Amino acid sequence: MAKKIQVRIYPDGRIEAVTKGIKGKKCTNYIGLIEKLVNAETVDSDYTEEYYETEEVIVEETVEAKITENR
Amino acid sequence: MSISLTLIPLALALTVVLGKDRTTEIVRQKEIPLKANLAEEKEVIETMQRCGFQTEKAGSRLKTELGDGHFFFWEKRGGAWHALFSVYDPAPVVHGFMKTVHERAGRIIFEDAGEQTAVEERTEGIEAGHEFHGPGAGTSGLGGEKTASFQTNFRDRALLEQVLRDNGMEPVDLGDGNIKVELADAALIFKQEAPGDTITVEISSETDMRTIFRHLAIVDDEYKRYVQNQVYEHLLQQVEQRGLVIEQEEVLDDHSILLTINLE
Repeated sequence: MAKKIQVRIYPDGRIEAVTKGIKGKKCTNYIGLIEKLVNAETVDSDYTEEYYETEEVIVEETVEAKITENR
Repeated sequence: MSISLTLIPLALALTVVLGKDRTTEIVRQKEIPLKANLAEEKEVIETMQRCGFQTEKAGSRLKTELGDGHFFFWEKRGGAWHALFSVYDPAPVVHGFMKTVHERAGRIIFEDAGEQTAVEERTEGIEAGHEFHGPGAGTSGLGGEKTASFQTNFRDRALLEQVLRDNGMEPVDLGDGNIKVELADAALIFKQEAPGDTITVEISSETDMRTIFRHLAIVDDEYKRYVQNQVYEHLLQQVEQRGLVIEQEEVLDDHSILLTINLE
């Protein structure tokens, strides 16, 4: 899934923002960007399911490459 | 989804997010909402006008003129339209209005007897049998000078000045960082100790505060609407500057603006 930010600006001025497609702790790297995009400060945050997921690591290819290298 | 944030624009006080919207809280303490048997905005306007009461949109609310300087707002709460009277409204005016509406509409508009009792108990100058004939009739409000001071939801002074001007209130710079606005027979002084601080308002009024509170509620609504627009415009600017793409944009039923920004 492509990396996205979904922003909702309420009629009373409140803003909610959600990152999508960004797994693990990397999502927290985007907090500063989001604040700059909307010129606002974060007052509350919640980690969602993706935060606890890790990005897929292609272990098999890496190991095979090392084996080939060592021959 | 990975992280969900709640943010507050720099132009708004934190209390908005915490659900302790001060201006709204103060206004609502003085309110007596009467639930009406009217489903849609159009129905409210048409019914009131058919009964002889001019009604028009006022921000996110409707405003009905009762004549002689009296008026009240309508707001949709919990899916139903409510007429918002206040503790300062003279009971004869409210009773007369309700009686007139029921007669001219040919049906019961305000059904809840309990709410009508609340009007009787909380408003002053109860007089039995008063009939309201429409614009031109009415009673005077409370007397005596009153002063009140409380914090608002505003933090951006320039934005507040713009909102005041756009709503027919001409702000005067007092030269000490404060702004003064004359409204009816009241003087409102908006004070901000330092840029970015929450603005407080001091109100001095010769008569009751209801008119002032109602105008402030409108200013509060309008200010937040301007903030929403300001945030949106800023976001568009930032997206363009950073070479990002807005994949989707829509306005939701509650007038929220929902945007999806592609980061890749």
